[in-house]
Amino acid sequence: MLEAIGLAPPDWLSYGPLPIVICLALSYFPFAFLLFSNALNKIDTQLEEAATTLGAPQRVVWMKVLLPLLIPTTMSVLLLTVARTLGTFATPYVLGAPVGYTLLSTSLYSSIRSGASGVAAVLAIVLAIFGILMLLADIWMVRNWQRFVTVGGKGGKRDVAELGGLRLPFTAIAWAVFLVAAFAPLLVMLLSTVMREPGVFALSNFGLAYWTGTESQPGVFTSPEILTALGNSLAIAGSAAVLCGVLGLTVGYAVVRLSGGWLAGFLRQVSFLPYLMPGLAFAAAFLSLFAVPRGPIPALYGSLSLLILVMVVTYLPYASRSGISAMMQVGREPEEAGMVLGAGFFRRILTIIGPLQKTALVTAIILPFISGMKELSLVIMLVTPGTEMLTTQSLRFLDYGHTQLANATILIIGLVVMLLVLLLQRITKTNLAGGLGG
Amino acid sequence: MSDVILKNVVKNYGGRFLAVNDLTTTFKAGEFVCLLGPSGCGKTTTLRMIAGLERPNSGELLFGERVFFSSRSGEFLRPEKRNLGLMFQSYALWPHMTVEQNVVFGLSMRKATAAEKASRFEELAKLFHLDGLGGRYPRELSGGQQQRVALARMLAVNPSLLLLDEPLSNLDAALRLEMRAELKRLHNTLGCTVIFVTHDQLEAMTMATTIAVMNKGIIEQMARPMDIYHRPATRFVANFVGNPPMNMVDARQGDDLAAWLGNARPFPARTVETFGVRPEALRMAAPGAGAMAATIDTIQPTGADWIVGLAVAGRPMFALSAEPPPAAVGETVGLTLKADGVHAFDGEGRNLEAVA
Repeated sequence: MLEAIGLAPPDWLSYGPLPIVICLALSYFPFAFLLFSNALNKIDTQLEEAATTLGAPQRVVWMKVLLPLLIPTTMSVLLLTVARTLGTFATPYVLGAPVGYTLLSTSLYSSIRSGASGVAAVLAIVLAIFGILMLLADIWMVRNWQRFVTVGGKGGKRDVAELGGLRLPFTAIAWAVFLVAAFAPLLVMLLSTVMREPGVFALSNFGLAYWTGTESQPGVFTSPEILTALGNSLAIAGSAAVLCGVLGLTVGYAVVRLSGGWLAGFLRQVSFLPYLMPGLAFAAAFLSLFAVPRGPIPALYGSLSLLILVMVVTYLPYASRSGISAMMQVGREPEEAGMVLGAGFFRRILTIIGPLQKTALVTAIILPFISGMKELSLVIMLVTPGTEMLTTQSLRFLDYGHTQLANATILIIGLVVMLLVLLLQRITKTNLAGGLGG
Repeated sequence: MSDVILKNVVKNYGGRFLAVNDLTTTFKAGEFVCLLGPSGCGKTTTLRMIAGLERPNSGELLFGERVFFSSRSGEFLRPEKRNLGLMFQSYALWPHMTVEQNVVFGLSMRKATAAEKASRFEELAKLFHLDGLGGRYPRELSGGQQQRVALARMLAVNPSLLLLDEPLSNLDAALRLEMRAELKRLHNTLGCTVIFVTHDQLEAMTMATTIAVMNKGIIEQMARPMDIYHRPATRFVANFVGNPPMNMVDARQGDDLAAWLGNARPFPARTVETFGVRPEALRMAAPGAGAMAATIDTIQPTGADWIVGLAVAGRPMFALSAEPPPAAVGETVGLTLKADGVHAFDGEGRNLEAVA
């Protein structure tokens, strides 16, 4: 990327372990941030105030109260990030493959591409085991750190923290992270798509050739690959999202309605199973499962429905989790009130549950839609020339050296995702940072 | 022992919402003061300003000779330097520390030795029946035990002023009664100043030596509990304290009922807008007895008393009686008045007798 602005970074900075670590850290930073801000929000400010009134200066409040309370979150963030990083494919592939630096995920990919399905299966199992171990460790920890769960009472007032002299450095760090992690790459990508020769900042060098296309080479708007990929992405992520949303709410409904029964508990557990299974391992399993016809199910490899299916299964845990909480919030009473007044099942769904859960449903659809648009690890092995998605298409462009087209594709993804996020915020009247973490 | 003195204290949030409006008052040393009022009246904000957790926008806050806050000199004593005890509604026990660690935290901040801490904990554990619980974590305690740990933690450092923010609201009724007695006893033995925030008038009446009734950021009346009850300075105080609440009768219609109430005792000769009648001041008698007739609308026996809903000259009122009502629902009774249970308020809600 740096080449685009005219710098020629040394290889150790552009490829291999170091940039992979930096990139992954930056990309999982928001995730950690969400978890931490959520945890901090849940800590009653009165816990800090109690220490203050007993004579503890601010530094001691941090050391003795706040940090110990954050230990479980820190562990959780570490475990989950490790688990997710293991299954990440794109970053190690793009930054590692050119210098022959492979990780579990990238070698899984290459062994499948080269037809070594036995090796692939082993790698997939190893990945899956790692994922499950992490999940188990997380569950064990949550159970053992139970004493950290705050006791009783409403939270105190939120106060804007007074950073005093630390204000400037903190603000600077916050901006730096934002610029490095989000803004700079986008800007560089955008630049690269409007410059004919990378790194030459002359007015004549700028042009929309890569967007509109030239005679020798199709541009973004005319490239059949990109248009197909856009259509596929929207179709796959969209239908997977709708399925997920509906299924998630249904699971939620069932869990709330059957609360206490074994079926509710079972549903709750089952929908969590694929939670931490790395997407890549998951896809490998699906690949071997559906590559050939099995009974009444035709061979799904190479069809859009396989991609939709794998996405639904992957996102279902998240969807059912939010479905359960949405249904819990409404509870049984409104429906029972309808029941007592003689409304039948469909009538209750239509006139009571439906309207009450309208927003929840839209959210439950848009969130997987967003994830689906960005999904790569999960689908990279399952796509075929006809079923390329935007993410996989951008990787293909990279493979063939069409950096500009790849960047343009990524920009399109970014644009679609941003629109979806805006839409979501309009509908739920919240901002994502506040509500996603849980 | 020192008084807590507030001078022209103003606190608003974000420049819009005025929480405490130009408050000037003195909480006397050694008193058990209850700040009583509905939610949003500024009582908790007042407490938090005394604790130093909120900074007033302007005014002065003194504890005896010590300046806690002064907008004139710009002084602000940080909360950790004020040597107060503060107890929260949620108790705010630290879940990652044991009972003993919670209790001696303040002593650690004062660089006490391990031996000092251990003996102080011993002492407090005995006082608050926490023997043998030192190694437990807060979540392993019952609500009442958590409450007592919070009390012990607050008292461990011998604070010169105790601040309590609705500490009883999370307890069930039986435990609440017990804790009220406990707090009252504690105040008697320690003799230190206590400021207690509550919206429960029963808590205020039963525990306080002084009640300050707050409304919209000001203190409407500050007095002994019985004076608050029997001589409410404003209509708001009269209505807020007492259960069932005082009957309010619009006097401007000048009907028989208003005339009857106006003759209960000699009121200052000024325009009355509202008469207030304590439910226990309305006494029911056989029909025909008394100057006023009423129809019984509802009867609610509470066990010890009867709360009787009446229609008096077409207006709903409640009477509280220790005797069973003399007639059944739908029947007529005669009414007499206990004169000192009747109050007259002017157009601004002031008690006519208090203004005079």
